[in-house]
Formats: sequence, structure tokens, C-alpha cells
Amino acid sequence: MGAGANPQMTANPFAQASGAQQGALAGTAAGMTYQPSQVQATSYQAADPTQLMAGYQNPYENQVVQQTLADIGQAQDIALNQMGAQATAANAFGGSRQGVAEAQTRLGYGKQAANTIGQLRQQGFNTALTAAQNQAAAQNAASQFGAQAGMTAQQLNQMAGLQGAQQRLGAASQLGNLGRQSFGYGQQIQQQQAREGAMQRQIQQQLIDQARGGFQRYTGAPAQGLQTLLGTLTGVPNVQGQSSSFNPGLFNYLQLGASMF
Amino acid sequence: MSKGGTQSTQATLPKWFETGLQQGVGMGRDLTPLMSTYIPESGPTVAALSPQEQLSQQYTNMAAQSFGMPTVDTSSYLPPVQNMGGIQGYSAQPMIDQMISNVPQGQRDYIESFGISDTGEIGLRAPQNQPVALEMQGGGRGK
Repeated sequence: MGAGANPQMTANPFAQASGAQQGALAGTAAGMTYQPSQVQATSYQAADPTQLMAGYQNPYENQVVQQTLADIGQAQDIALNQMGAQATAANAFGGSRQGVAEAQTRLGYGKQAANTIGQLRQQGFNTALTAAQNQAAAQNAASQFGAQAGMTAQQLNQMAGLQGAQQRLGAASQLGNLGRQSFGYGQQIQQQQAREGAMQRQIQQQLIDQARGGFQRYTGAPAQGLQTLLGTLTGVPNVQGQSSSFNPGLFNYLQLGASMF
Repeated sequence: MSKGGTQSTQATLPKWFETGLQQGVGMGRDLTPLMSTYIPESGPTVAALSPQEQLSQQYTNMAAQSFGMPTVDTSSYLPPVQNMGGIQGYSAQPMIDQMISNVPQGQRDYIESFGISDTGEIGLRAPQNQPVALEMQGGGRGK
């Protein structure tokens, strides 16, 4: 990092890529260990109508029965009074025949009371039983619906869980791709920076080489001048000619004169 | 020089050649101080980064900054751009000047004494100012 570099480096793509890759690995690992939830059958206890009958007993049944018994008793009393009056009119009151008639009358009213009460009780029981059966059927139907709905909900949850796991796996895969993409971006930027830096360094090197050359020109200038001078002198080719001359002396002239004679 | 005569031998050159020779030597002698003089090379010598290249570097910084990567001020690395006649470039001359200024003054004076001064005077050690004592002219008849 040269002068002017940004010291605030909050994150770099290599760290992002590394984090994404680790996250993708963890997510992928978690997705691979996914276990779907087991669908449990929802059980229910069938309703017992006999347990429900008490709630359907007519709370006024006893009053009706009592009122019926009272009415029958009152009718029996009226009948007995009439029989007593008739016996009195016939001077037979307190006789054995009156006693037998009263006994038969009481027996008849007793049977009527028993039959009437039995019918009332039977009617109340049947009504309660029917209502309890209806309730039990409704409860059973509701329980069956609830059990079915529970299983359906579990199945839906299982499917949703499976889809969620698949989504996590997809996200993990995507995260891994994003990490690789970030790494690629970082590498491209770093390579571009390296190219630009190399270009600038090449310019600097060129300037340094030129400076060194310039300094050598400075220090070597006298030697360069000497080379110029010596080059001038050594360039003279060896083409000189040669001429000879003879200046005669006195003896030469005497010798020349003697030879003429 | 027997029997009183004198025999002499003298080297000769064609006139045209001797003329050119003397002119060449004279010119070489005059050129020597100039060749011994360091003349700075002013102006840019390396082409500057083009505007497009500078823009590209800014884009690179923007991309790096976006990714949280360190960035650099690219303008701080290269020397100032010089403009001469519309030609923009970098010059190595500032570095040369500094290198020369680092040479001790005495050495600089010696080096520069072979050449021509800033005022056009020939240095003390130029050929024109070198002492000459001719000793090989045969009987002292040389030039």
C-alpha cells in the first residue's frame, strides 16, 4: 500500500467471499441434516352416551310425576268420596261391599298411577338417551374432524418444513455462488490495480533510466569532448606522398666539370 | 650528404586534402568544448497518462472502494505533468538536477571546466586553453 492509500478498510471481498463460503457450507450442512417431522395419528376417546344422559334428564320430571300422583290421588279421593256418599245413601256405609269397592278403586288408581309414572319415566329416559346419543354422535364427529384436521396440519407442516429445507439449501447454494462472485470481483479489481500500478511503475522506471543517462552525460561530457577531438585527429588517412630533392655541393660541381673533359 | 651535397626528403599532401584536413581539425577543436558541455534536456520526455487512462484509474478506485478494498491516490505517484507546446509528459530533469547538485562543488567545477560556461566562455581545460610545447618538429622548424 503506497502513499495515499485508504487506511479504512472495513471489509474486503476476500473476507466477504470467505464468510459467504463458510455460511454456505454451514447452511448446506444444516440443510443436509434436515429430518422431516413424523406425522402422528391424532387419537380420540369415543363419547359414551350413558355418561352424557345425566345432563339431559328433565329437571321438572319429578315435579310432573309428583303432580301426576297428586292428581291421581285427588281423583281417587273424589271417587272414594262419591262411593262413600253412595254407600251412605244406601245405608251401606262401612259395609263389606263398600270396603271391597274402595279397595278395587284404590287398586285401579294405583295401577293408573304406576302406569302413568312408568310412562313418564320411560319418556324422560328415552328423551335423555336420544339427546345423549345425538351429543355423542356430534362429539365423535367433531373428534374425528379434529383428528383428521390435526393430521392434515401435521402433513402440511411437514411439507412446509421440507420446502423450507429446500429453500435453505437453495439459499446456501446461492450464497456460495455469491461468494465466488465476490471473490471474482475482488480479483478483477486487484488485477486491474496491479496492471495500472505496473504501468505507472514502468513510467517511473523510464524516468529513472533517463535521469541516470542524463547524469552520465553530465559526468561523461569531458570524455565525450576528448573523443570528439581524438576522433578528428585519428580520422586523418595515411595518404601522404613523398618528394626527394638534392642540393649539390662544391665537390659535386668539380666532379661534374671533370667529367665534361 | 656525401661529397659535399645535401639529400632531403619531405612528405606532401594534395592541396585540397590538406585544406580539408586543417578545416576538419579546426572544427573538431572548436566542437570539443561544446561536446564537453552538459546541456540539460528540458521538457517532457515521457508521455503522460492520457485523460482516459486517468479516468480508468478513478473507476478502478471507485470499484475498489465499493468493495471495501484499499484505494490509492494515483496522482501522488507520478511527477507533475509538464506541458510544452501542447505535449504533455513527465520530465526526468528534476531528478538529474538533484543528482548533479549532490556532486561536490569542486568536482562539478572540474567537470564543467572542460566545456562552455553559461556565459559562453570556453573553460580553462578546453583544448584551446591546453598548454602546447611542440617537440617533434625536427630542428625546431615546426609550427
